[in-house]
Amino acid sequence: MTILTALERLRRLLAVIPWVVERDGPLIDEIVERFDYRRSELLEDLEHVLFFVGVHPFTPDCLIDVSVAEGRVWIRYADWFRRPMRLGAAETIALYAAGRSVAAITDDDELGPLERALTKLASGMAPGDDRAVEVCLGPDSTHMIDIIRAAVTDRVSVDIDYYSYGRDVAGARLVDPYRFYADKGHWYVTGHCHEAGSQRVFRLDRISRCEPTSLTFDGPDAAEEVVDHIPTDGRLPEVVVELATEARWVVEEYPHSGVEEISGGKVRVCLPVSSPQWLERLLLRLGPTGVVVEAPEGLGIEVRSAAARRILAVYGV
Amino acid sequence: MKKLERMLNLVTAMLATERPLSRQELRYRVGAGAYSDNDESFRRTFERDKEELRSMGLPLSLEPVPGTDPPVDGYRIRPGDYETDLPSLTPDELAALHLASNLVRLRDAPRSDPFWRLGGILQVDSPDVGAVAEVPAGEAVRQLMTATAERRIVTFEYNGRNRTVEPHSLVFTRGRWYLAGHDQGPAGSRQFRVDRIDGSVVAGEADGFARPGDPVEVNVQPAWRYGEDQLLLARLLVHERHVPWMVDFLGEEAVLDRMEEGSVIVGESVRNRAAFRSFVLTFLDGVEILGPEELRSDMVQWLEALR
Repeated sequence: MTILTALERLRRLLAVIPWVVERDGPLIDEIVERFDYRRSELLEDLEHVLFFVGVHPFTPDCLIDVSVAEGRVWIRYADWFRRPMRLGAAETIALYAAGRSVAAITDDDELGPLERALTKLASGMAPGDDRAVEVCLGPDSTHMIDIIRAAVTDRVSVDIDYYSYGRDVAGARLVDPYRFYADKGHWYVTGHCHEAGSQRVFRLDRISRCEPTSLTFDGPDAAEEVVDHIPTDGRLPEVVVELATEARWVVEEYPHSGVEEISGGKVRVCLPVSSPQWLERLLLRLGPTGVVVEAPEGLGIEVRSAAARRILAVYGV
Repeated sequence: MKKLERMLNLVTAMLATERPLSRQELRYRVGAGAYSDNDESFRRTFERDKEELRSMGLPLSLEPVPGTDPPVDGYRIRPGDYETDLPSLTPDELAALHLASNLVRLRDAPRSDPFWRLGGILQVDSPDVGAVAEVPAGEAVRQLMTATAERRIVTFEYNGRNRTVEPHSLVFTRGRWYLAGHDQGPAGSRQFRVDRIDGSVVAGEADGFARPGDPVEVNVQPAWRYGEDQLLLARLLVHERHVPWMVDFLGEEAVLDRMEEGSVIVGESVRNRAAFRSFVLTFLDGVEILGPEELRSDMVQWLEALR
């Protein structure tokens, strides 16, 4: 712990005083832990600073009374600080929003204390404020989330049916789930996939069945690289696509390794291709607004033609 | 006198007074030796102390000292503004809230820790699971959060225009922050993507507007459900491999029929045909538009031009 500045000590003291006032001689050690206060600094501040705090003319009856004995502290005559400082409206609302987003993914059996805390926080908010700021991390399919989170905590392997978006196929897999998290509006779990023999990232809304097994696993292998993003360092083949103005969303939506403005509001973007199916989807959706201008063998415009023909076959054309 | 002692005595003097105190009165009441005898250096130190207390969130009010003409600036902290009126949290409630705020972290948010004021941080006996989500919260988001919470009117530039907005609702969803509120000119309910705000957000005075009983709410329906096109009810044949996702996304009520081989037929409203075509194409040959005919032939024509 580094030495705290006067302001950081003031911040803590204003919280410590009402907390001690409310109790009958709490342990110094407990204050150290709760308020992240170094013991020597806390003692110094209680005995050599707070002891001299009060109102004019600073006669003994105008001062806060502090006594430290046998590892405990008592604070009296601190009427000005009998209640903790109010949380700011934005602090309350941010804390409340974070708490609610966690409540949305918490099993009902464990929800009690969090829900009670949120109700207390909400009691200090203006009417309507409890819904003014919201954090939605991902779809609320709590059943699946419960199973995955429990499996991550207990290190239990899970048996899942998974649809691979990149390869456009579905199948069963055995996974050792390492980490559960939300990103850009979706829930994910990373883990060791026994079928692939390496770490993979799974999006929860693409898991259609998930069952815990009787198998457990050790912690993740730190040496194993987790690829949870599309690399833009040239490891993947890349195509250069010329985008019309209305197709510029592609630049925001997908990782790219370079973008260049050209005339008439058009841009040229260099996109890593994680799978041929990904490129098929993109080019079919863009149609005339996205033209491939550079591509390695087999990833040019022929990808689009073949995919269009395959889908047309479904329509009997 | 140490700075900490001076600051504490300053806060005490401002809390204990029943009327605003001038700078000179505070200098006297904080005690001999607290500030420099030199007037100019006292003024500088006092101004800095005041700003630091404000930055900590202390509600200093600035009011003229009664009976002064010309008016002299006076300072006080009203106990009603300072003291919390929240019921105290029990240890398990505090622990649950602290765990929640560690699971969902607001990235880039200042580390001012509200937990001390709620009763300190308890060392929770829980497995170290790591954060579940890091929600980006840059300068604009923090400004808008404060403005929404404190009902401050905000101004910012969006799509090349200056906007003056009463912020009703700020929502993080699908990986982005959205602001919904009443735009003052041209008047109307509007929604903004916070990452598309140009430059900085300027917030006005607290309680600058009254939040209506029916605030404008953030609405992020899929793009094909709202638009200018005539409303059509599309019927889609969904291949087995996409059924779990599609049914989860559209809801069980969208399922019109279930086929023997595991595929389903679903219904979905369409008001923007281009966006709908784009959505269906993400399933490649796994989803077929069965009808109505105009949507089906629109897809066929689109694909014929690309083959």
